Amino acid sequence: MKYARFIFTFLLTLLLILLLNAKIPFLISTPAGSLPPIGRFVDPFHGFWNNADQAKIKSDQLVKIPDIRQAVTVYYDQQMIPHIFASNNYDLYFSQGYVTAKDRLWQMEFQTLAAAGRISEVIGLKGLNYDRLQRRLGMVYGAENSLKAIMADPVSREIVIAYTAGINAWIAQLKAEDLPLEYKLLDYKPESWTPLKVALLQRSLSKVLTGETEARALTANLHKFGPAVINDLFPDFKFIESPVIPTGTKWNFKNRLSRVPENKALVNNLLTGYKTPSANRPLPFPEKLAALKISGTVKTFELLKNPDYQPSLESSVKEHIDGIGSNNWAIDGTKSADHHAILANDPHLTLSLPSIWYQIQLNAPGINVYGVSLPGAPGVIIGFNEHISWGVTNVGADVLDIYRINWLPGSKEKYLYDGKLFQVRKRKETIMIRGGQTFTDKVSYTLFGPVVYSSTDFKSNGEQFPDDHAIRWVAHDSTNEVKSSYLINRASTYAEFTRGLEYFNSPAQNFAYADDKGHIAQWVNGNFPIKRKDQGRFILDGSKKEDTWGPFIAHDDLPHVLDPPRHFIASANQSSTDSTYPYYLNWNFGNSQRSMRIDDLLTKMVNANTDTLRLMQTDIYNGYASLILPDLLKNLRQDKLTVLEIAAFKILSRWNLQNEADAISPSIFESWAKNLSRDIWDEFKDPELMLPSRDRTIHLLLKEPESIWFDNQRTPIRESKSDIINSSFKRSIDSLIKNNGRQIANWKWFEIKKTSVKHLLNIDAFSFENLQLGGGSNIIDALTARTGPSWRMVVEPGQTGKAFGVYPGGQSGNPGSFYYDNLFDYWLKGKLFTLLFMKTEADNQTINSRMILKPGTL
Amino acid sequence: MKYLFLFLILLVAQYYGPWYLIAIVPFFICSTFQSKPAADFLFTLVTVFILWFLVALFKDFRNQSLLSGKIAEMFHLHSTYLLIVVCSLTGAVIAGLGALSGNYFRDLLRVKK
Repeated sequence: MKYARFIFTFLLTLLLILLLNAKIPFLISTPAGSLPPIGRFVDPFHGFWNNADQAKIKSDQLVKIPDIRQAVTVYYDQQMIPHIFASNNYDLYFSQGYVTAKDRLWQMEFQTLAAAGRISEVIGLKGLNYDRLQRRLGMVYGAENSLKAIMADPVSREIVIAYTAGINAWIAQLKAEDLPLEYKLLDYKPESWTPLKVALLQRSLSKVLTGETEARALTANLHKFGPAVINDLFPDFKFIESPVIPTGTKWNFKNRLSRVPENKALVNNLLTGYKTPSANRPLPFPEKLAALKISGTVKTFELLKNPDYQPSLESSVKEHIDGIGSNNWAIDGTKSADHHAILANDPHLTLSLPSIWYQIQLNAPGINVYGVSLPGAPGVIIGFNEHISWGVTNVGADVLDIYRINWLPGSKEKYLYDGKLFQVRKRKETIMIRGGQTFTDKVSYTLFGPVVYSSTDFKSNGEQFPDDHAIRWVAHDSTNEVKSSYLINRASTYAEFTRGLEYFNSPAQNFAYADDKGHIAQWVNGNFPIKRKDQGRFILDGSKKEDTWGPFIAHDDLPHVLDPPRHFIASANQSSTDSTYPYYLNWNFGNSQRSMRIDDLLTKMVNANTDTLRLMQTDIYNGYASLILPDLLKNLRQDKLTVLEIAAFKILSRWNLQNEADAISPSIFESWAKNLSRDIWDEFKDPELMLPSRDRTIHLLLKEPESIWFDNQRTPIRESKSDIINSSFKRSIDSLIKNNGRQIANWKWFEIKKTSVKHLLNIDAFSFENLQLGGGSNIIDALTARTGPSWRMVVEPGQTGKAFGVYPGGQSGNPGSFYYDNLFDYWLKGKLFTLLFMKTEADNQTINSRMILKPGTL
Repeated sequence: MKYLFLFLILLVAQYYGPWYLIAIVPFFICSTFQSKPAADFLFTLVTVFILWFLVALFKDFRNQSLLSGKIAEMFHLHSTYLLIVVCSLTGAVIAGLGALSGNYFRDLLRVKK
């Protein structure tokens, strides 16, 4: 009896300890995956309670660090933004790594693990498919190539090594109980930072901004409808738009190559060799060639160095979600009240927490720059210094192409290219899975790049690349964006700035520029392969030399403009140029409404100041509605409407075309426009096809009222434009009633749009949901359900106290910190903080605290 | 007195050691100093409850319940105080069981003599 009760109690205690000390995947599922080890997590001495930061910031700190060279002072301002003053470059970037890790370690590591396809190490088997796709996309391959370029240059090499050492110095002193909260939730520990992680992070940005192509969907469209229809509905240029580089800009080519001849056979080839996109019929393979000797394994890299080889990868950097995009613009002195140039930028991304950006000031001999950095990458990406300011938007050029490979029959190892046989190179990808398992993938690399999906072991499920096709993508090339940041951050003139741009190759960006001399400029900047017209619009033929990419367009020849006669520059993801630019960049740029609105406002602008541009960033005028709504309302047959539909009609008729947060009209209009587009383009509803753009829909509505496309395929009668407008209106009201009730007052735009800024692990308690925000897709303030301005900045370069900015969130990545979301309120209200730009260390009157990093051992 | 001793030892031990010391320390103390099983269980439970409660409360106060509010929401608890009570109770029960095991273990040794 005594034995029994002891053994029972003892075992019970032991069992409970073991249970509460382990991650229990099978008990309750939380959004983070599974429960954290409860005992460890709730322990008030080491658990989550240790991440409950004090409201009061600690006063000045002295930290001794072994591998720093000279003392560095970090001034933290009222928003806990670090202002680093170092006496040499090494210490500067070391300190940037150190302070960034201090605030954002979990985020920067998690994002690089995700980029590298290593999420399974943290979340187990459910991450495997994600990891495999990342590996097969060549994310690590691309990062390794990029790292080679970074390490080959002594400047970027020193920066990356210093930055890495700084992060590792932070990790080294970190005790288990001080680990960021997410490590405790997911129960793992940080590993050492490496230079490769810097490259991985930049490649993950390339993936977000350039990792998509419509070639597969448009090829499917081509097979279904034929070239005439596709050329009509999917034109290379919008019927009305204002390109990034203003029409009329002269192209002064220094290095212009002879243009690649137009290949009329392209479309025909596709139609004969590729009858049904789903059947994936192999190309006819000449039998006698099969007897040829294998030409040897050729690395893509060797081919790129071969001048005869014309790399042929085009990527359509089309943004995934319609309406995500970014704005930048600058006005020169003729438009501003005090005759100085002013620049504004708001890059739109999927909004997440910890905040995407990290504000920082970097000061050392030769550099004094302020702006936002990406946690995990050295330098400042968007910002300003004493003389210049710059901001970016995505270009959206076609820098990722799909190639159908002419495989040797019965093989997925050998293929025909330009009449010669080649063998794929295998890249082994080992994925470690939490719990001890390992998964090995062997990814085939062709001359073009990796075979992402494979009919034998990684089947595509209607994704953007078909099985057994290879991709060519600029993100696989050796580029050195670290060097670009280095040069741009230090630039004080336009010439120095453009030198820095030469190193910024992927993801291609529209760089807006303004300086203290009053110059303004815009560059469509990045690696763009020279292509024939429309090359890469459809799936390309991987056996043909002429389908491979040409060399990249020389930097001097990239579309750019300095001090245009219209006195402003602007970009909003629209077409880079008009049709006079000799090189083909893409057919599918962003819709034109946002950029047209920006141009409209800037054209009329006089006597502007920084606040004028701030207000413009929060403009919520619905350009789409302004174009089509009058016509839609005119076509509504009011005698056929129900009482509720008439009420909705009346509200819409009185609308001021502003997508205000608590207005009803935007809800009705957006729902109507969506249904209208689906009903018009019902022929394209098959998920493998793609719909024509919004701009094309506008043209159809306004200029082609008799078009056959208005007809609904499912009915025997022929519907007119008016029929479709009426039926889609009724359907929209029905769906609004179904989802939001019969009370029209409850159809507030923000409640339907539901803008959320979510924590990277989708934990609701760490997120902000259903925010009371207006705006919308293709509106300057482009707030959609998950995307929007990730950073808003307005700068008058060279003028003290005239730099402003805000992002959703805060400097700290810790949900238990008061600085996790302290900037949020200003962002919600469209307000900007005055950014503290310290010219010297003496400008420290308003700082909160300082941290001194000194050489020495702890 | 025994439990005050336990409180102080745990306060120090917990700073340096893992959380399950809250079971190990009472095990040894209760297998050394004799008490009734019910008393060992209950008083250890209360002692550790108070220890964890106070430490958590202190950290929560400094943080103005910013984090505890979020963690409470994550665990579907409706108040930060409920969260502190649940957390403290978790530790307290384990500690009580550790104490009880120690008490029974002492009993076992005595029989052997």
